[in-house]
This record gives sequence, C-alpha cells and structure tokens, in this order.
Amino acid sequence: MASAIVVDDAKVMRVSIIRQLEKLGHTIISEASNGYEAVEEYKKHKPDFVTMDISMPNVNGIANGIDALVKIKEFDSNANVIMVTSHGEEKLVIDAISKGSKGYILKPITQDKISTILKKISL
Amino acid sequence: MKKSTLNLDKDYLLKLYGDNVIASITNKKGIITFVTKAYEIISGYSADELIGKPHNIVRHPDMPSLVFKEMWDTISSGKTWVGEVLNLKKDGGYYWVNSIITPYKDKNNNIIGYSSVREDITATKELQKLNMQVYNMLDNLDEGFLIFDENFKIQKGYSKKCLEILHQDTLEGKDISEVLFQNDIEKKEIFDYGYSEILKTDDELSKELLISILPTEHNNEKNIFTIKYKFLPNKTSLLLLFDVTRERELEKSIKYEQQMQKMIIAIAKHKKETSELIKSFNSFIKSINKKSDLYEIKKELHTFKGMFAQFEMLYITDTIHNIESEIKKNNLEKNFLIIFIKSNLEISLQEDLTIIADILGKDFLSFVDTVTIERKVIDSIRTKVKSILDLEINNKIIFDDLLNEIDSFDDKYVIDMLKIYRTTVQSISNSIKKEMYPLEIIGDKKLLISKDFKYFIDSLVHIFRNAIVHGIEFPDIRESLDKDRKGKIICKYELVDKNIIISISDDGKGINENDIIIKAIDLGVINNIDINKLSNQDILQFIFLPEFTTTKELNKIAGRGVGLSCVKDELEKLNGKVELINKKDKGLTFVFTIPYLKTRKNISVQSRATSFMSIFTKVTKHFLENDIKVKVNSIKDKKVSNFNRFYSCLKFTNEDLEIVFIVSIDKELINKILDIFISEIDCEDEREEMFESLPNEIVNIIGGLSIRDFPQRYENLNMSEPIILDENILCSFQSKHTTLINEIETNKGNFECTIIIIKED
Repeated sequence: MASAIVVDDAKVMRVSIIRQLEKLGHTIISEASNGYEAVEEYKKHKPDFVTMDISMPNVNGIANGIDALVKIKEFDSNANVIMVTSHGEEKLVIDAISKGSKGYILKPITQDKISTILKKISL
Repeated sequence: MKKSTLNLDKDYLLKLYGDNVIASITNKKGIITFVTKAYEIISGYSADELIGKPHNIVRHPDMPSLVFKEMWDTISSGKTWVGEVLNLKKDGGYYWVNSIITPYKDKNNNIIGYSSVREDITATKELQKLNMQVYNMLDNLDEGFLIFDENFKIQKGYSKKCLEILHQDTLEGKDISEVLFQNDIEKKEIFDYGYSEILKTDDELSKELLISILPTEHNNEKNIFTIKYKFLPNKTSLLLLFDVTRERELEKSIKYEQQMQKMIIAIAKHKKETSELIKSFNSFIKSINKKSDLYEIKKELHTFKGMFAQFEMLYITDTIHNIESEIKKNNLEKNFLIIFIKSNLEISLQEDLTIIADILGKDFLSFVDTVTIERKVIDSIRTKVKSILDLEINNKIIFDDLLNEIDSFDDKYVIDMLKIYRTTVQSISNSIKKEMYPLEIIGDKKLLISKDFKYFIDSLVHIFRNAIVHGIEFPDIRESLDKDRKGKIICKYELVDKNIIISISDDGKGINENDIIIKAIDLGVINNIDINKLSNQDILQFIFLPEFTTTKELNKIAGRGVGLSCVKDELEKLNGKVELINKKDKGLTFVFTIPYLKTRKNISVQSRATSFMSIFTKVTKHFLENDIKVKVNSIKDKKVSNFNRFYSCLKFTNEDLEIVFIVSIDKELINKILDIFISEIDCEDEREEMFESLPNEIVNIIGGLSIRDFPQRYENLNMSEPIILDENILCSFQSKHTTLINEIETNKGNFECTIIIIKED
C-alpha cells in the first residue's frame, strides 16, 4: 500500500480524506493546509501520492493547488498528484491535468471515487 | 541481333497482352470473332464457346438496356465508348469491367467490327458497395458519427444524422467546436482548451481524464444532444452525437405541468390581486408608446416580472425575462423595443389567461370582490371612536375592539365567496364531457366571514375539480349504475357554536381506499405493518399529502395531490380541520370545521419564504436521515433562532433577491455528523477544533443540494461561500425582515434551519 500527503485548507475535509484513505489501507505521512506547506512536505517525505485541493488560500506566492502541483512536478517529475475539485472548475482541472496531475476527484469525496482514481494510477 | 530480340519481344508481348488484357473483337453485328486468354478466364467461357456467339452472352440482367443502347449509338456512329459494365460469368457469377469499345474500320473508313479492352474493376466496385452499405447503415442509425482532425476540421464522411442534429447543410472542413457550441462560449472554451491539451499529450491516463471533463450534453437551440468522444489513429477523433431533444422535452413538459398547477393554485389563492395585476399590466402595455424614458419602461417591466412570477404565471414571466436579456444583449433602439415588447407580451399574457380560463372558468378573473358595509356596523364604530375621544387614547381594550370592527369592513358573505364555483363547476364539466346539475349552495345568506377565509375558499377549487374529474362518472356509466345521468355537487355551510362548518358532497363513485393504501405504501408514506393500525379516516386523510393522487393518467384538469395539499395548508392557517365521508358508488363528502375567528398574515412574502423553506427542510431532512442516519422526530416552526449552538450561514443572491440561510446545530448532533464524516476520532482536541469548520461544510452541502430544487427562474441565484456573521447582525436581520425558522428534532439533537429574506423580488 502507498504513502500519501493530504492537502486541503479545511480541516474537516482533510480528516475526511485521511480516514477514507486509511480505510483503503494507505499510510498518511503528512498533511498540509495550503500549497506552500504542501510543496515543503512533499520535498521532506516524497510520498507515493498527494491529494490536492484545487482552490486554497495564497501562501508565499503559491496561489492555489495548481501552483503547488507545478512546484512539486518541478521537484519530482514523476509525482502523483490528484486534484480535489468541485463543479464549475472545469478549466482549472484541464489546466492541472495538462500540468501533470494524474487525476481529479469531484466533491463530495467518497471512498469509491478515491479507490477508482488510485487504481487508474496503479497505487 | 537487335531484330531477333525484337521478334522475341513481340511474341512475348503478345502473350503478355493475351494473358492480361481482357480484350475481344466482334463483327459489325456484335458476333464475337476474337477473345484473349484473360477474357476466357474472367468470363469462365472458353474461346470456342464464345466465338461465333453474340456479345450479349455475358450480359448481366441487372444491367439497364439503356446503357447498351447508348453504347451502340456511340460506336455505330464511329466513336469510342467508355463505360462501366456488369457482366455475367458462365457459372452465374458476375464481374465488373471498365470497357473501352472502339469501332474497327476498313480502308474506306467503313465500320467492319468493334474491338474492346476492359479493366477488371470488380474489387473497386465491391469496395464501393461496401462503403455505400456502411454509410447507409450509419445514416440510418439514430446516432450521428463524424470525424475531425487535429486542427478541429471535420473530415469527409459523416453520417446524415449529424447534419440534422447540428442543424447544418454541410460539415466537411468546418471547425468542430464552432459547429457544436456556437451558442455557448463557456462550453466552447472548455472544449477548445481541453481538446488541444488532449492532442498535446501521449499519456493515455491524461487523455482519459481530460475527455471526462469535456461537455457531454448540449442544447444548440434547435436540438439537445449528447456527445461521446473516441480517439482514432493519426490524431483524429470520432464524435458520436445522440439526439435527446424528445426525452428532454418530455422531462420539461412534466415540469411544465407541475408549474402550471402551481400557477393555478397561486391565482386561485390571489384572485383579486391577479385581476388587478392584469388590469394594470394591460394599461401599461397600452400606454407604452407614450412613455419617453426607456429606463422607466425597463424598470416597470421588471417590476411586473416579479409580480407575475409571484403568481407563477409562466408564459408572461418567461417572455419578460427573454425581453430583458434581449435588451441587455442588443441595446435596442427605443421605437423598435416598444414594438418588440408589445408584440411579445400581449401574446404571452393571452397564453397564461387561456390556461386560467380553461381550468378555472372564463369569468374567474373578471370577478372582483366587493365590500359590503352595513349601516349598523358603521354606527357601532362611530360610537367606539367617540368613546376613545372621551376616554384615554391608549385604552388598549377599546382600541383592539375598534381594530376588529374596522377589519370587519372587509367581511364578506359566505354565499358571495362560494357562488363563483357555480361557473367553475359548469366550465369544468363541459370541458371533460360530463353532465352536471348546477352547483347547489345551501346556507344562511346573511352569514359573514372574515376576508382571511378568502384564500381557503379559493383553494376549494381543487375539491370541486377533483369531484368532477375523479368523482363524478361519465353519463353512460352513471346510467348503467342506475344513477341520474347528471352528477350533483352540494355545498352547505352553517355556524355551529364558534365554528363555521362547510361541507362539499358529490354523488360520484367515492374513493377506493385500497388505491390509497397501495399508493401510500408505494410513496413510502407508510409500511405494510402500520396500515392495520390506521382507521378508515386516517387512510382517507392521505389524499391531502403533497403529490398524492389516485388517478394514474395525467390530464390538464386533474387535480393531483398538490391541489389538495394546498387546501390543507390554507385550512391549517385558519386552524381548521377536515373530515371525509366516503361511500362507495354514492359519493364523497368533505366536512371542514374552522374556528370563526380572524388571523392575519402578510401572505405574499410569507408564501415565497415558505416555498424556499420547504426546499431547505426537505433537503436537510434527507441529509439527516440518509447520510447521517438519525431519526427525524418532528419539524416545527419557531419564532427565534438559537445561536447558542454551532451555526453557519450563507447567502443566495441575484439582482432581485437576497436570502440568508442559516443552520444551527446542537452539539450532540454535530458530534454525530462528525462521526459519520470522519469515523473514529480519538483525540478530543481534534474534535473541538473541527467543530468550528463543520457547520460551514454542512451549510455548504445543504445549500448546494437545495439550489438544484429551486424554481427555474432562480437558477441564476448565486450561492456564497459559508460566512460567519455576527449573532447580533443576524438578530437584527431577523427583526427587520421576513424570517422563517424550522426546528428539525432528531433522536440525536436538533437541527435548525433559518431563512431571512433580505431583499424581495
């Protein structure tokens, strides 16, 4: 099973995703509440994958989940970053995928949705 | 040396010619005189069999004789003929050739015969035929197929259905996203951006992900269609289009039926207001030419839109809405605008009025209530006013009394309120070909009731409608049951103690209680076990539940459950009760018992708020029962919100409307929700921390789910992010604006929904 970092500015969402990932047998090695922290944590732990909220507050010039994705990809071009998104953010999702995101999950998040996307990237 | 090589080559070439060129020579009459080896092979005949025979030995019956006539005309006049010919083999098979037939002439230029060479084109013809079959097949499928390349250019070879769905004369070479989404920039951008990213990547996963974001359904104002995308080699893609216009229209017409019901209810409830609105709207249209200020016209029009919407009048509201968007889009010149407005509005209003007249009777809206004040009432008020002047001004008891007296100015005779239904009964029965005696109304002609009864009395239209449509049988059936061909409805009213009792009886077939039970179980209102505990009366009362009906077919006049639930709502506002007396084949009687008192409410804003609240409450109840798995015990109105709990709010806004939606949740229930969202939290600190943001998530979920159920004209309502508003601000809102509060009591604590209408359209 794989190791993960969960990134979301809402703690409830973070914990919700963590619990569901744990049920699927994955290990959460760290979490982050903004894009900047996410990049830092990625560099520290090099997890197998990251779940990344697409809209988060701007911290230290990292404006949202896509900026964080780009930074992580610069550091590790094989990084598996899965975007967490809601309706009406289609263009952001296209942007994220073209910048190397390996998948996206539409809120509300369910265990099924997570396991489907993880299977696709063989995790 | 050279010569011998040439000789050898000549023989060789002749053999080569004979083996490979399908050639023949005939005399002037078409009798074969020579064939090559290749000809023997393809036709299946030997040279011996062919020579001396007419050339039509290989003629295929499917070949039209006109072709041969044209050929003979050409060659006999000395010219060369070229054409495709289907020939018959000896074994009954066939082959296609491209023939070149040339006349063969003597020294004097007289035709003495014809030589012909042919090319075997059977394979090409077969391929063409196959192609035709494939296209025929594709053209006859319900799905449209087309292929476009990496420059978004549509390729040659698409099925006919595409032209129809996309409403185009031709597609070849056109830009696919232009053709698909010409009326929707947002979708076109998503498609263009998404597809160009798809083309850039070789990664199958990314492609799949990007495809899943592309639009899958579109309405191009001619058709509604679904879109499926498939990749082909060489950066081309296949689109499959499927026309779902009919399906969507059917869904829409069901929605429209429901909307129409709502309009009828709204108008029945607000008869006087509606007739006044229509009157003032008509005079607005008439005087529109004289108005100089365009801004004023727009403003007035907008106000009318809001008012028509309040009465759920669909055509006219939609039309005004379209006119407004047209004005915004095109910046129309004033004179043109006036013509545009006039021509559109009069028709749409007429559409609405026709529906109303069809259902409620054509005199319904022309009936305007009159207020009758009797001499003795005025006298008694005069005395009271005098006594106030004599006594202290703020003597409260006399003052209240006075108000009551003034209110009774508006009292009406019961008979006047009910007699409108004589027309209704007649017009409904005519429209569905049932025969009815005139409605009989029995009661004290001098009995007055408060005008607050008006909405209830107006809602009774559903009872009459149901009685005629579902209760009274068709004349022939009645005859076969030994009943009078004509049905009868009797409406009685009387004052008993402090209650007014109104009964409405028909002599139709009554209600089949089993149908109600089946429907109730079907709707999940009740289960098999509970049914035994219910009395007959309990079962009959089910017909007042929203969306409840025992007739299966849809019909324009049929009162579905929604009508009766409206009667019940109005009845409850007056604190009244209803009892049903059901006699199989003898008829059904409704007995309403209502306290003979007065209650006052601001109906219009209130009813708007109620309709929003009922959506929020329904969604919340569903969320609590299905997602959180708690049991909802009751839902109650409240006067004041409780902010000593965990609460959060958000706003729904558009240019006309501003609603604040607040949820406030008991700690126990928050804990329960947290457990469901996040199983097994061990650390108590973590729990506390999450309490802060959980109400935000919940208000977001409920708000997001509710907005989908809002009436169509509120589709553009914008839902804000959850906001933390100060308790004092919320309390001051509540004191100033229309507020509704519902407390949902569960076995794990309470959940309170509040809506405040800050701005009304």
